[in-house]
Amino acid sequence: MTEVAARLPGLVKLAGLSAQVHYAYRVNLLLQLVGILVQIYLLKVVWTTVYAGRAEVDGVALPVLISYLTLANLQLWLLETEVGRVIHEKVREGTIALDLARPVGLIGQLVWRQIGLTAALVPFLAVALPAALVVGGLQLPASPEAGALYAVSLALGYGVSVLIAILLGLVVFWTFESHGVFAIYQFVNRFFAGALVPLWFFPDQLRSVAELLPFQTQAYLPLSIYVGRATGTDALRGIAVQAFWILALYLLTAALWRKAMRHVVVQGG
Amino acid sequence: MTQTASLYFALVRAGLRSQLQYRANFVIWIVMGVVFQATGFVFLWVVLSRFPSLAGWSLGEIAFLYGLRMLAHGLNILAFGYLHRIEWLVQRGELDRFLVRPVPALLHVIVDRFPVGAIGDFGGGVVLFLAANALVGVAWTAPALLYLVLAIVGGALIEAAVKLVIGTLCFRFLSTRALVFFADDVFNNFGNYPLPIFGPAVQLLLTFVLPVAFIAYFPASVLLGRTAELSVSPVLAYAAPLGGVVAFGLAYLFWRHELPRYQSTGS
Amino acid sequence: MPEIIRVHDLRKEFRRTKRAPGPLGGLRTLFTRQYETTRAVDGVSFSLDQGELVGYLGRNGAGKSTTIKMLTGILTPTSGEVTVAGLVPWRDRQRNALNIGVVFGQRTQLWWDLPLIESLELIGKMYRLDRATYRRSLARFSELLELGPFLRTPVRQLSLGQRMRGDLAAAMLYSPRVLYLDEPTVGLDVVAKERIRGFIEQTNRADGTTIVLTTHDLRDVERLCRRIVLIEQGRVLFDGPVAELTARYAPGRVLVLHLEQETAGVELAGAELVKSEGPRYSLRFDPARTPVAGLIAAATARYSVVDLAIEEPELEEVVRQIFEERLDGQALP
Repeated sequence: MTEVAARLPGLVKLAGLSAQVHYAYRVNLLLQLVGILVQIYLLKVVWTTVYAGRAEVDGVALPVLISYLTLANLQLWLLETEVGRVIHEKVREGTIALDLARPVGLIGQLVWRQIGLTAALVPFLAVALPAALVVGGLQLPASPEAGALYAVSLALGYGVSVLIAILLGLVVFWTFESHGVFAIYQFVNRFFAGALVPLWFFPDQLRSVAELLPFQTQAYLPLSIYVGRATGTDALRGIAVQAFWILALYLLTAALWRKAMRHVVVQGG
Repeated sequence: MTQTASLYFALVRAGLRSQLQYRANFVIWIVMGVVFQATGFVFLWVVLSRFPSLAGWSLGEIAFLYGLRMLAHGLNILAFGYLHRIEWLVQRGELDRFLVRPVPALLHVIVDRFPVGAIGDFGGGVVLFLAANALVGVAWTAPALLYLVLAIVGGALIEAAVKLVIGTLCFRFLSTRALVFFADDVFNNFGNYPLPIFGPAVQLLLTFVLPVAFIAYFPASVLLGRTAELSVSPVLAYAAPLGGVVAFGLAYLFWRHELPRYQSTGS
Repeated sequence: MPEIIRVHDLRKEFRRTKRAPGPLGGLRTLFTRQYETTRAVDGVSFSLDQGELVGYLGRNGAGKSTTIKMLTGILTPTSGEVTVAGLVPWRDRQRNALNIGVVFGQRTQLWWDLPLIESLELIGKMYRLDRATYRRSLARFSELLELGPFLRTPVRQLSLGQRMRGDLAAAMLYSPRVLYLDEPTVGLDVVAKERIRGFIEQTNRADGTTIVLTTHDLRDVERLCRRIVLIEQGRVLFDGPVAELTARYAPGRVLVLHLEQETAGVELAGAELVKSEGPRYSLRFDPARTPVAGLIAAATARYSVVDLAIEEPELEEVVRQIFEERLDGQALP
């Protein structure tokens, strides 16, 4: 921990640089945002059509549902990670061995670069939120407590997404192929995070599967708190599930990184 | 004629063999294509497991529409490959190599690389379409089958036409990448849905500005016998495949017209 | 010999959008377009007879590649006329392509991921060679360019020299009437360069192929060409025999002195200071009139010389010379 503290200034600078670089990819980011807005619009249209004028379905009113979906997709956009690309670069350039020799160094770097990326995206919210309001719909949290718990839950969801990304980075390390793997992950994640269909609409069996997976932590859990569908103990249970995933993924990641390190040492980098 | 055909196939084979060198990506690209399209469909599947229909379209009918679009899209990519690569080629002056050959430039560009991933798109479309047919009752008479084939080809031509026009624009505007992504997004997302779920303004846009409706919705309406609910004349729907041929013809003329603007690089 | 290429008052202007500066530059450029026009080729005229081997020279940015691209049908001129074997390249692009072979020094025409032999086969098909002719041609160029060892190697794994030989074979396989070689020896080592030059010369002699060789390496020119067209700023500066060019504008050698420190007013009898870069001074002299040994002796006697070298004059030099002559008002051929 003290090592991290000592390297803090450098890491913050790294985050800053990462943010700068992403300003250079403005066009790309805007494009992604447009893609997300198209998605949100489509979701709104489809759900409005199936509601067919009903006030509520399964206890959820249409505007609430649309707010949920809009936020869910915005969240996924915001939580986007570049960890995979970073690892892919390092593997390609051959510097990964050096970084692996100091695992805290690599993971520290990854985390701070991720924060840099997210920080770069935040200003875009100024554009994204109004646009999402027009294209989809937004509502305030169900209650102030819901809002506060949502913030906590969102942070935990962010943590999970970073850990999954690091884990996927390992897949890159072993297979040298990143783009396809990450794309597949994004599609699967979007579906099981409940960003297309909220989990309460899933058929029972599918719902059971979704509840066993970590993806729900990234949209469904925080947002069910936000829209007031999960309150009190339900809300806390959701947060506990997220905490569980953070712990489980952290242990898994750490174990696999150790294995990767040994592999690198044995192979001679 | 046969010499030209033989040359065409030799070039396509070369494009395919070039891609086969990168075997690992091969499988991933196919899987990625399938997963991408599957997510879109699974979404509809889950929604329709909870709700009876989407604007009166049952799950089977939606699957029919979705499968038809995937077939048209898959065929487009398989036949016309990386039309969106035109911008990259023009910006780097890589078009020179194609212009020096006694082969139509556009043809040479198209077959230069084989879009392996599209095998997944097309295959997925076949599966989905066949599954849909188990759920809907379409009488497959000879005319209907012919129309189906024409619709798939026509749909592929429309997508190709749009991509070609956008690619040709880069002779004037240099960077049209954003436009390509946007068009792709719209085709892949909006093309799978029955048009009536959208408001009238959007329906107009998707019919006459970006002709998404012609790709799958109109032909599907014809085959499923739903032409009554169309907001345009049924004649337009029946003629959809023809629209594809016309659109591509115009796009090709546009390409030929703009090609002299090519500036290459260096001096 | 009959005329095969005719170029008359050829012009090409490029209109490029000026990118607005600043962070929103890209976006601004979408709305307020500012263009800048460059005249890459500004009234070029010349003609070639069948069987000529012409050197088309010029510095970077002089307009040589642009001219060649118009001759090969890649670019459409802004104005002017060109006929190659009776065809207008940009109008009859595909038919013209059947008559010509092109080798770009910087870029390959071959299929990058496939073995060389497959590229050649595809080209045989493309140019409608029957099997017998193809096989004969392949055998001949395979031997001439020694392609045997790497015919089955994917092009991306070939060395630059091997790739260049492959490109030459590909360009000659169908016996084109005109061969355009755009910087074919750039980046190659001395041995490889000589091999390529030998091949070019032989092709011209044995097959009577008209060859247009663009280069900015004067050694290529000296070895191969009898005639030179020199282009600068889009205009023909010189069109005549090589002997005349070298005699009039690039006589002699250059003595490069590396002195211990920067010295003002470096001069030697019988030599002319043409360039100075820090403590390095280049002096041109004519070895016929100023013996080398004497010059070196004088140099080392007068200045503290750390290092020295004798060099051939650069094309830059030649062009500068011709410019000066023009400024003096002397008539050019």
